[in-house]
Amino acid sequence: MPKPLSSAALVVYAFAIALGLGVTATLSAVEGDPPFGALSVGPWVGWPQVGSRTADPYARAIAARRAELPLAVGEGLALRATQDSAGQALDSRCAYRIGAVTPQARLWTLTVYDGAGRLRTSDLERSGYTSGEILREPDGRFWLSVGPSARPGNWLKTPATERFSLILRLYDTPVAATSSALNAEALPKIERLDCEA
Amino acid sequence: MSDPGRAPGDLQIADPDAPAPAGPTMPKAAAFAAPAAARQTSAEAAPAPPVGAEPASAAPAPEAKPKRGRGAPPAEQPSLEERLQRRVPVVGHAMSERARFLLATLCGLVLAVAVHIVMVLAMPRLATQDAFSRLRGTMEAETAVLIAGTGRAETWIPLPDPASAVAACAYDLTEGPVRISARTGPLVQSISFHNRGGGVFYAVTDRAAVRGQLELVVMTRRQYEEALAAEEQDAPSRDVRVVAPRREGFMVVRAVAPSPSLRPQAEEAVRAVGCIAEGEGGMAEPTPPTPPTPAPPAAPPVAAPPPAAGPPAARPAPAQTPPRPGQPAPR
Repeated sequence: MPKPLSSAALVVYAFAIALGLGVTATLSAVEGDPPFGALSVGPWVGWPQVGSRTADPYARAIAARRAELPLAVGEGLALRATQDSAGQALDSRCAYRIGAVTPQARLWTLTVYDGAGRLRTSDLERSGYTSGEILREPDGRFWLSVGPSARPGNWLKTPATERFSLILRLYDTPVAATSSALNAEALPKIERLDCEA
Repeated sequence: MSDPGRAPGDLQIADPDAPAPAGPTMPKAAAFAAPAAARQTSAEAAPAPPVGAEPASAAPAPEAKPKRGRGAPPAEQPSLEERLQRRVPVVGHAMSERARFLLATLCGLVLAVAVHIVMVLAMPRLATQDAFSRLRGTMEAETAVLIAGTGRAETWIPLPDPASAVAACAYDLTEGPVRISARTGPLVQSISFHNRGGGVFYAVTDRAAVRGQLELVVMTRRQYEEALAAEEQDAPSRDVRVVAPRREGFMVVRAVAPSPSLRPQAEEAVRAVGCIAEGEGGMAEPTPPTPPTPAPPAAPPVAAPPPAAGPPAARPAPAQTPPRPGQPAPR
């Protein structure tokens, strides 16, 4: 008969599980985006609660780890897109057309970040547009091209990394307080046009 | 948690025939099963792992007590087969082998959940690279310190907005409230207050400014009540009082430049925001115009003979008590 497992071995085993799984789960949980409270509208995702009193423990842990200064609910709302309106991941080799409306805000900015969340490395190249400088259609709508090669009108160059993300920041917007009022119609669409091989 | 743990232990103890010899393994199983005592068990078990059964059963495990009375003496251990035969349900044996392992796994999982929860909750407090820790150096500063300029300036903020300038100053309300004063301009500007460890408890934009001036005083609940008590009714303070849930935190001011040419202005605007610690009591200005006060407060509380109508009402009562001969007990 095999010797029964000693209690010590079992205790060590249990603690190994506890530490191993506990630490792994924590690190993986705080690595990505906050697991709760995501506001997802079309391709855009935001975490308005992170900037409020009621931020959940995961959001706080993530903010602490990243040294984030989230936009408060009264300040504005930041929405991030890592995929286009069709659900495909944003690809630097492809051209996109973004437009044409944004929710009501005193000022908005739309910025391109590379796969690691960095801005463009050269100051000569634009990283983003603000509502104050974007060229608009006569009816007030706007169209922004994001792609590897230059296009007429509003154009942002895609970063060098394969993946990239866009962040739309709505400053001083009434939307933040009632984020349930956000719908896909009110936010810019991200249409994929063509891709370079 | 207690149920699964209980089962094996009960089963064995409830089995009166089970001869003491169970000694070597049983107490261990019982001890291990003791769910809440998992930690102690490890402490007991760890020091003497190789010796195994005898010491463990002899000395600690309170669970093993009923058994020990009968079971400790017999030194020779019946083989597993013997025990198997005597033991009525075969399950009992299965429990003691596989179930112990499963139980250990289960305990491990439960503890893993506990470890996870504790880690997540502790992370904001223990973080050394979070926003508050990085801003600690700004606590003495009298104006907000620029932490993210416009454009692609170097900053530790993740995903910075090139159109906005961000400045911040940390505060500690132990010494007294902190006054934030901002002069608003044409730019979109906002101020938010963050707790140490996460959570924004107040935010305001430049739209709330009165005549281009935004005066905010961050204070603890206690300081707020003191300020209210010290306030003159005729001259209410114009400050916006913000009650901070915690003593430590930081203020963040943002200004957004709609076009690149306004970016220097945005940086200047956020740098100019003052955050000045106010000393004890906080309300420095309302105190000078005290003269008009004596009359109203003197009436209700100061019924005492000494006409020392001290300016502040209720507080000086103890000081007045000594001259009163008739009442030895002040209260």
